[in-house]
Amino acid sequence: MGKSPCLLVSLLFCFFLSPRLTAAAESLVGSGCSVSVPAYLADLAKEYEKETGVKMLVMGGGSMRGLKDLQEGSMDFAASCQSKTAEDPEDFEYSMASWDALVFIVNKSNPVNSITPGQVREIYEGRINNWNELGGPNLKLVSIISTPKGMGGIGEALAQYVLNGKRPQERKNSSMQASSVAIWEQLVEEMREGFASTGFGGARKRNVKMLKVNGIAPTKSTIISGEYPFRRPLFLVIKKNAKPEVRKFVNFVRSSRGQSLISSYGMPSITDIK
Amino acid sequence: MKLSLKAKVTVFIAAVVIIVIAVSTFLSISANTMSIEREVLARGVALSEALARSVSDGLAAENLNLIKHVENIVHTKDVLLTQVFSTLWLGVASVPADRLNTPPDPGAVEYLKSHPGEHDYYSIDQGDWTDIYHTIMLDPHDARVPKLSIGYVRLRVTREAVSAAVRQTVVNNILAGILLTLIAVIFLNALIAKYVIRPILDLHRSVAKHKQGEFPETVPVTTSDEIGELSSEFNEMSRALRERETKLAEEKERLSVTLRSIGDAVIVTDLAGTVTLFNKVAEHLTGWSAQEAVGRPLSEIFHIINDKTRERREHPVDKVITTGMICGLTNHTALLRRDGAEIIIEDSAAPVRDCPHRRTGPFPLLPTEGRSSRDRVRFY
Repeated sequence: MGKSPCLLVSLLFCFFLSPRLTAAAESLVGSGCSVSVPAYLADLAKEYEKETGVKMLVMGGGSMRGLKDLQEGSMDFAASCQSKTAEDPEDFEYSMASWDALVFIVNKSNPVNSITPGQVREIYEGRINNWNELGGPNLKLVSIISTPKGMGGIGEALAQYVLNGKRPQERKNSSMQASSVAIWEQLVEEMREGFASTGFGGARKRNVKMLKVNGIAPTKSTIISGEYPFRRPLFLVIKKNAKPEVRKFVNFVRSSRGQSLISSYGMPSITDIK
Repeated sequence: MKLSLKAKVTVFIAAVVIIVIAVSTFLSISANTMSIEREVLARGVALSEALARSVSDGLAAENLNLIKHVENIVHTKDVLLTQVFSTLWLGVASVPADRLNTPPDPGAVEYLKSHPGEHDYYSIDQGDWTDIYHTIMLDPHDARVPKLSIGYVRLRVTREAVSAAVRQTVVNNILAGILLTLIAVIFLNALIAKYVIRPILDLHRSVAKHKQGEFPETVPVTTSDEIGELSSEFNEMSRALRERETKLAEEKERLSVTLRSIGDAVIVTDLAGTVTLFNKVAEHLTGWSAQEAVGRPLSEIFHIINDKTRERREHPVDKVITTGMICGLTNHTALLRRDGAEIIIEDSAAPVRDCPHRRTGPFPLLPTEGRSSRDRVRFY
C-alpha cells in the first residue's frame, strides 16, 4: 500500500512529461534553392530553432532538388526561387518568403565591371566566348550553367528578363555544367574565365564580383528601388497536407518578425517593397 | 623423318611438361585475375565509401572547399576519375576538373535511386577500368533527424594493376615452364636412358653385330623388370645360338675332313650341277685343282666316254638330278683327263638329302673307284 502514492506520482510525471518529449523530438528538414539558403534561410532557421526548440536542418542543392525531395517525402519543405510550374504536383503550396535579384558574377580578378542584357544573351547563345569582347583580357569565357531543366529559378529569371522566354542551353564551345548556383559561384571564385548568373542573396556572400547591369550595381537599395532591373521572388514550398509544425515555420518566415529578420540579413524583404 | 628413340622420348617429355605448364598457367591466370579483380573492386568500393563520407558535409553545405577531398582520393595512381554528383545527378566537383560534365551511367542512376541504402554501391566493369558509384549520406548527428541521401560519388579505378599482374604471371609461368622443361627433360632423360633406353640400345647393338656375322654379345642386366627379363632372355638365346653354331661348325669341319680323306675321288655339286666340293683324289684323277674346279659346271671338267666305242656317255649326275636315284656307271667307262689322258673309272652318283624325303640343292655325285686296275670316282 505504501508504494501506491509513489507509483501514482511517477505515472502523473510521465503523463505530463511525454507531450514535451514529443514536441522536443520534432525536427524540420528542408532543402532547395542555393540562393535562399545563404540569403536568409540558414540564419532564419537557426533563429527559429533557438526560439521554438524545433530542430531545423536546411540544405542547398538547388530548387529542382528541393522540389524533388519534397515530392519524394524526404524533406518537409523546399526552398525554391522559381514560381509554380505546370509540372509541379497539385498539392505543392508556394509561399513567397523574400525578394532577390538575378545578378551576373565574374572572378574578382576580371577587369570587366559592367554588362548589358544583350551581352548576357549573346553569352548564353554562345556568340560571345572571349572576355575581350566585353572589354576584358583576351581570355576564353566559360559560362557556368546546369542542365536547362536543372537551372530552376535562375533559368526562369534569365528566360523572363534576358533570353526572351528561353532557358539557357549548353554551348559546347563556351559553357560548363555544374550542379547548382552555389557550386557555380564557387567555380567563378576559382576560375578567371568564369561567368555565371545567380541570385543576389548568394552572390553577396561570395568572393566574386557582381556586374553592373546598364551601369547599376545590384544592392539591397537598388533592388528595393527598382533601379536594378532584375528583381525576382524567393519561395518556400510545402505540401498541402504538411505537418502543422511545417506550416508554423512558413508562417513565421512570412510574419513581420520573420521579414524584419530577413531585412536585417541584408536582403530586400517582402515588407521592404511596397 | 627418322627420330632416334632418345629424341622421341625427349620430345615426348617436353610435350608433356609444356602441356602441364600451359594448363597450370591458364588456371593460375584465371585464379589470379579473379582474385585481383575482387581486390580492385573491394579497394574501389572502400575508396568510394571513404570519399562519400568525407564529402558529405561539404556537399550538404554546397561548399567546394570541403569537397576537395576528391583530390586526395584521385592522387592514388589507380584512380582515374572522381566525381561528386548532387541527387539530381548533376556534377558538383570532379578531378580532373574538366570531366565535371562526364555523365553518369544510366544503370547506376537507376540502381542507386531505387537503393538509397547507406552502403549500397553500383559497379560497372568497363574493360580497362571499373566505375564504382556510391551514395553520399548525410548524418546530421541528431537522433531526431534521420540520415539523408544527398548525392553520389563516382570513382573510376583502372584495372591496369590486374593486367600488369596477369602479364607478370604469364611471364613468370613461361620462364618457370622453360626451366622446368629443361630440368624435366634432363632428369627424366637420364633416368629413362639408364633404365629403359640403354638396355634396349645394348640389345640393338648386339643384334646388329650378329647381323654382321659376329656372335651377339652378352648384354648387361641392370633391372629386374620386363626389360631386364628381355635382356637376360636375349643373353640366354645368344648363348644357345653360340653353342649351336659352334656345334654346326664342328660338324661341318668333321664332314668336310671326312669327305676330303676318302680314298676315292669325291665331287659334290649343287642342283644346277656346279661343283661345290672337290677332294684331293678328284684333283689327281681329273687334273683340275680344287680351286679351279669349285664353282664350275661339272660338265666342263668331268668328261667320260666308253673306252670301247669311244662314245660320249651320259653323265650320271644329270641322271641323279632328274631321277633322284643312286646311279652307277656302266663298265668300260673312261675319264678324259684335262691333259687328254684316259683313265678307266667306275663311279656312282647319289643325291644328298637334308631330310628323309626332300632333296636339297647340293647334289653330290660319287665317282667311285674302279676295279683294282681302275680308279673310282664318287659323286655326291
